[in-house]
Amino acid sequence: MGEAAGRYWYKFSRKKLSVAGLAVILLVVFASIFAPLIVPYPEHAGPFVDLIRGSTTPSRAHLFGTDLYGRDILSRVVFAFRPALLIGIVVLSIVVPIGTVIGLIAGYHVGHLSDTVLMRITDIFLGLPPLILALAVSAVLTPSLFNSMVAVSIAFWPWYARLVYSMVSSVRNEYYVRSAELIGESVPHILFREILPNCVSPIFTKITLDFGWVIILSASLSFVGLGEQPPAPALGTMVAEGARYLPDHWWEAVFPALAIVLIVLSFNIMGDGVRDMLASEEV
Amino acid sequence: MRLVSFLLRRLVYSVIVLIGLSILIFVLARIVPGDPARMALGANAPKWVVDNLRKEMNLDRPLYIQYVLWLKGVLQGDFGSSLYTKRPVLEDLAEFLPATVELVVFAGVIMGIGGVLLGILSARYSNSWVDAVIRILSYIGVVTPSFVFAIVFMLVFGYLWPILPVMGRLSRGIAAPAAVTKMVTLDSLFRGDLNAFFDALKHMVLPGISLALGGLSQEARITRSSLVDNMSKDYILSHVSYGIPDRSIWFRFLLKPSLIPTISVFGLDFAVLFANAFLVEMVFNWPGLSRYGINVMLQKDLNAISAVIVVLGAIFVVMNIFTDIVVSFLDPRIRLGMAKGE
Repeated sequence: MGEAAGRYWYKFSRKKLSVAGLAVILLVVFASIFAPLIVPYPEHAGPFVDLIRGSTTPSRAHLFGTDLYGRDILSRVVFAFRPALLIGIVVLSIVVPIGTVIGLIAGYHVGHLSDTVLMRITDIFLGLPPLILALAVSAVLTPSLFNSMVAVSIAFWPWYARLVYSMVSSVRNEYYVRSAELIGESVPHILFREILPNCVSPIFTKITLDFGWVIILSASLSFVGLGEQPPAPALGTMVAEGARYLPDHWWEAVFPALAIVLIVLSFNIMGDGVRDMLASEEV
Repeated sequence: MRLVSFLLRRLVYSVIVLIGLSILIFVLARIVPGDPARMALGANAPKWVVDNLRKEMNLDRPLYIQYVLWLKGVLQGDFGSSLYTKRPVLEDLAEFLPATVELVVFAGVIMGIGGVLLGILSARYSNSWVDAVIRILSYIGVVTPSFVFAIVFMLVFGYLWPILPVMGRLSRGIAAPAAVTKMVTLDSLFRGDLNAFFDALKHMVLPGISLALGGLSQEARITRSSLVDNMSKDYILSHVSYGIPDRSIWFRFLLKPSLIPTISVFGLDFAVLFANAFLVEMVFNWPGLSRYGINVMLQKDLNAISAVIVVLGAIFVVMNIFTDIVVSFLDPRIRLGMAKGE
């Protein structure tokens, strides 16, 4: 096990850029866990008001400046990493199991009723861009962090169902599946013990690449006011609020926007590295 | 013949997608706590007024009957009334959609032309510094949300180097042309008012580019990789070994098959522009569907929300079908595959 991990790490580390992406992500994770300890003004993450220091330009005391209410933008950006990462983790841990199970069941029963029903439903969701779906769902729900997670999840599960479905239907008639059936293994055993292990690496690659997309989608929702509600810090909300005072208070929108790009870029670069790492590893 | 049945199947499928979408919104909207009629009228409205509105909105009927009634209305072009603007949703759409369509079409043109040109440039000089720069930029372009581009452009061109307008559709002092299509560029052209036309065009540059860059980067990447793939294929290598000049290889043999993946992706990206326009319009204060859409979403104006979402969904599925048609005309493998019957 340790040896395999070492081999994977060796392959991954050959691409310096991917390692840099991973480093940035670890830094962001670290910063968001220890946010109250490392940011200069932890109390500014909440409903803090200091109108006298409102909208000050970046300075030594406030590296990213302050917002309309005098809150330190740097502190708020670091705190906003928390919901951004949280939404990624929650959404993917909802979406991946659901999509995988649906894909497994439908793919195993190719041509049966369950296949038709499940995949037609999946197709309906795949027929629309994730942003439209997520907007539609969060539009009818009350805006909150939780509901934006629901909205993003509804937009993302079908892609996993489709991915797993296509993999399962291609290995459906392999000998190892057939022989498991012949010795009378149960369907759950065949699905989860025989088939699933062979689908793990594409799923894993997709997860790392999707993390960034989930963050973009949730930032887009909070940008239009359908995500985490103020005064809790969310990157999208901060960009939207800052955008109202462009170009005079440029720092209010620009730093949160750069933070989004930084996280998403890092996840994508790392995801590319993971894909290359797993692609060359033929199971 | 095959093409017709293929298209019919696509059409039926698209209708199913739209019905599925509308059911999804409908069910979600009704399972959330809160009474839409009460929300529309406010906490102070007397109970009998609220009850009256509930009856008018069919909220007292079972969910499936509400849905059927709604669907019946939609099929007759009646999306109901907006509780936010107090007039038929269809009128609202007619007022706000044209500005969005204008912007999206403009962005689509930038996206298509820019993406293909950059992709060709990148492939033509593959593995040179030109290629490297384009690949890095397009990578960043793909992962950057459009509203971030909007903010950066607004800042650079509205503040540091103010050469382009960053707000609205026309400069102050320029009379808006009579609304025929409600698209300022077209209307001013109809009137022969070139001054207003160029002014309107200038106003579209920054929002248009912010909107286009994501898709443009994706198109550039796809065009490049498809060209580079095809360049090493036997049919091109044989042309090269015949001594056919580069230029005619590119224009006669290489571009057409290589652009097919770009076109399929372009179709999808074009429809996604409508969704992203939501975000970009907000930054540039563009009076399109976005401001209306966001307001009705925050107000929980269900008739208007469903209409906006169904229109966005319809645009997407129609673009999908259209793209399929174009691609099947361009790609003989698909066309003949259909003739053989899958």
